[in-house]
Amino acid sequence: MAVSNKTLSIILVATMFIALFGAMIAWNRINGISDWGTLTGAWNGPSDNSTYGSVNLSITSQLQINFTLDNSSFGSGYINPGQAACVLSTGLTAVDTRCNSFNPPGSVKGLYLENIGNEYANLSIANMYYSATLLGGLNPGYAWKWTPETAGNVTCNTTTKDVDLPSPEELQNLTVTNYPGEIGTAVGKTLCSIFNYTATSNAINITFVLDIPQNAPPATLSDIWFAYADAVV
Amino acid sequence: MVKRGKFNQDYSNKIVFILTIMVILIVATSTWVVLNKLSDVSVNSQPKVVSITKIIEEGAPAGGAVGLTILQSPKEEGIE
Repeated sequence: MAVSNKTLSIILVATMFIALFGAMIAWNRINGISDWGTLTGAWNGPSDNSTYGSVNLSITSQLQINFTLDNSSFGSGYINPGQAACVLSTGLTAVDTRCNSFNPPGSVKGLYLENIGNEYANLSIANMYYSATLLGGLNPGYAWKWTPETAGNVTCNTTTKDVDLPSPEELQNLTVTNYPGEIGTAVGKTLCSIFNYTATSNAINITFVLDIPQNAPPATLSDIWFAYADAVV
Repeated sequence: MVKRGKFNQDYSNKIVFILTIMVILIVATSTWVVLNKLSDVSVNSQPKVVSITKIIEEGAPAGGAVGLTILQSPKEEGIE
């Protein structure tokens, strides 16, 4: 079947009109979204009643540490006459026979620090006194030791631990140069770069040994240990 | 008649050719304009759809105490 030039011309003219009509429709639809040159998205179209929706999600987490056991009291007592010193310790059921009337925590843990939040914490600690300033007398001893609930770096990652602080399970006598509350350390010294919050791996036990010399002046003594938690960056 | 018919056929071929060129130009131009406009849309519209905020609530520092009372020994009291 032969197609005449006239038929072809009509088809082409129709095609032109269809193409122009389609282009105009597309053009108008796009211009309806926004003006020329400042097109920033459908929701900013000044001539449209367009709107947009956004999704906002806030995740709240708790960074919280707590001394579950916050009082390590040795009671009151004295050093038996004739003895040079008396040693008291948390974690011991038997009291040094050179001591009299003291009531150490015994088998009860000393201070028990837990990460009770749901965030890893950067843990710093501080205290107020060291051996000479707490007890006085000749060659006093005020030592501490900390034990993570789970060994290694699971409970407490010590990668950035302050060099003055002892390693886990290491008994360290507190002196003017190494105690956590050493002057100049406003928020103490870093113990854990990451303090775990996972159950069964989120606690640190702090125990103490006191070596009280005979000539320590009678007094009621108290030291406060502070723990600070910052978010792990 | 023969000449006239040939003339009409040549002329008609010319018109068809011109119309074809016009159709091609119109379609190409309109396509280019529309695509150009659409590309502006895709470049400029960067919707901020999702905003996730993580809030860490920090608790107060914790504290624990170590305490004891040292009494004077009986012997010392006797001496005094």
